[in-house]
Amino acid sequence: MKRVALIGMPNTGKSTFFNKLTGASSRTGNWPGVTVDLLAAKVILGPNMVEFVDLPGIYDLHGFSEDEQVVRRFLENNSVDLVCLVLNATQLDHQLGLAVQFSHLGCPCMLILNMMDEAEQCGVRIDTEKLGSQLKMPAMLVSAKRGLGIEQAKQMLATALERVEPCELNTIQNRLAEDDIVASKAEAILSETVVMPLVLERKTTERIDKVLLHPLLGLPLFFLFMFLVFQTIYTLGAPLQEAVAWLLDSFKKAALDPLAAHLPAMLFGLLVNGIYDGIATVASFVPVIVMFFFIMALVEDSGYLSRAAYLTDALMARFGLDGRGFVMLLMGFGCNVPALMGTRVMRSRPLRLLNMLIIPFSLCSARLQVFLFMITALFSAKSAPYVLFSLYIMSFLAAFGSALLLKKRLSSNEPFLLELPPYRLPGIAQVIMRGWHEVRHFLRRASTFIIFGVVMVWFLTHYPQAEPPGGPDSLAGMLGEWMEPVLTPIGIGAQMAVILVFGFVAKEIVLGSLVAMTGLQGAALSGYLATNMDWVQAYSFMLFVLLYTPCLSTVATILSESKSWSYTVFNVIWALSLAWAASFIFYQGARYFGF
Amino acid sequence: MLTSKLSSLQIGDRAVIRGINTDDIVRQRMYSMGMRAGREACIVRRGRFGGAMHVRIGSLSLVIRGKDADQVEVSLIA
Repeated sequence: MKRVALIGMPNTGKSTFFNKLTGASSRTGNWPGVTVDLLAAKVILGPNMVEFVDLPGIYDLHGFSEDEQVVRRFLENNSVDLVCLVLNATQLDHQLGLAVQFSHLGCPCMLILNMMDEAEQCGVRIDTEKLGSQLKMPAMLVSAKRGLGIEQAKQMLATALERVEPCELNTIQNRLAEDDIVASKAEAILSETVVMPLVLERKTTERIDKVLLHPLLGLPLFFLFMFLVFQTIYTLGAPLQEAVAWLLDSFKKAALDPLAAHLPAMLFGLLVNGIYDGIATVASFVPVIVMFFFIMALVEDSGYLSRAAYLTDALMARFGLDGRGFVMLLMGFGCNVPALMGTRVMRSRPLRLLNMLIIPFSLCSARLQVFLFMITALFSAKSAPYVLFSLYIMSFLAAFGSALLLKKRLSSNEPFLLELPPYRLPGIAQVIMRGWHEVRHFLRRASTFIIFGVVMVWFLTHYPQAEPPGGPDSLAGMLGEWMEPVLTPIGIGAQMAVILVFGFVAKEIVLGSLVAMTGLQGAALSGYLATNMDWVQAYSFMLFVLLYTPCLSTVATILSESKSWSYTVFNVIWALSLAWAASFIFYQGARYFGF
Repeated sequence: MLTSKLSSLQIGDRAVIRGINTDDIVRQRMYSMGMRAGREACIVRRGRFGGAMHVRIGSLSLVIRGKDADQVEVSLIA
């Protein structure tokens, strides 16, 4: 088997090219640093089985960022038959140096100049033959997004692989020439082979930026967009969720109930009222989540995230963070785990730790399900969107408040320097791929965490005494009684204790296990909630769910990214204390004012 | 030739980067992102309230925080 490593600067379309070559679906976006893990896929190319590895984007081989170290370590420790460099054809003045660095290494390389469509539009002309011969590597133009030149690239890869012998790269650092030599050589090659207009024609991007980056309107527009996105998700999502819930319920009534009717009552309770109803309730939110990720993918692909970082940087600087931190919080709205991994683009450890402390407060899609359900059950349709929006605000307040308190301890001198890519129309195929990815991700979680949590909660609330489920005579009730001194001051009933405990594993369990505990779902469960808690208690419960540790996966990610147990424990305790304190202040405050 | 700081430039100004006065790690970062001596930079916009500045260097559009732009020495092109 042969191995090809894809290497290039951040946001040059490596992952898109990788997906086109291999048919894989790694995550892409118009934002530097989306690839955080090494992704490999095997395809047959000519006579060979070839493994392609998609490496994180790097600016050069000397860099000290985590990504640059990952790439260097990969090249040092793995035999690579061919390095496939992916450069942005519109930015060769800036990126060619990387190719020169690799041509100095003397390892077999091939040069893919991506975004040929944009280069053409901008009037960039490239003599690929001459460029290739100067760099001693074959070069060609492609557009990975539009699928142009992909077949030719495959052929070129196959031919290149026929000729090469694996390269030894363990002396990378010694063999790297001085930057000055690389830079001057890159410039010499550039002037001979590439014609670049003095001013790149980016009229559309400039026009859009005039409005979106307006010194006064930029930030209000950004917040308006965010509000509209959440509003859309809520207005479209609620009916969609009801439709799926109805479908799943109809299936149960038509097929599952008659089939399982002759099972013993206990087993029926566990299988149908516990597992099926629990998972069905969580599953009914999948369309909302998919829609959410569609919108996120659209925003990520458009190039607006970098603008958001620019707009929010001055604000973030006050909290010891930078604009990228704000974007990480936004990404966290989808799922905290990739956002945590995205902090790898930061090279200062204190800055990374500070960011990893606040990202878990970001209201992720799993928590969104719980809130959508509870808000619909306990608040009027008119006030519901505002209640949801207030939770997003709380999520920001918790994040910024924490940063403010800890910025002195975790201060850094990392420069804030970020590229603004041109606006790009999102590729529909990529957006759909992303949605499909989320469905698969959900199914994986459903088949592991959620079943486990739901079964456990069902068992604990039904043994040894099931009347009422979760009542004082069940195991869950005993747990609740034991935790009462902490829960009563924040207005959370003892029967909810077990749910919060398992909510630590994953937030999807919260909703699923509410169903399993009560044996109710849909409107009946809403009714149950409405009779068992008032809005103050419900909001306090939601605040707690919002702020305490989102799930085991985030804890695992925080541990693997920080490589520090003490930091991870601190992170979890910080979130738990803040959650309790916020709920306490809200609950007691609201009661004091007579609500 | 008179040098000044990148951060002191006004919108529309063009200047040649002369050097970066900071520690090696930060300089390396700036260098790899296109902030190199000899390159021409043009100021596109500046954020209000101490916001970052938007600079164009060749085909690159970069945003850089004022504090970091303080470290970059440039000479204005008249």
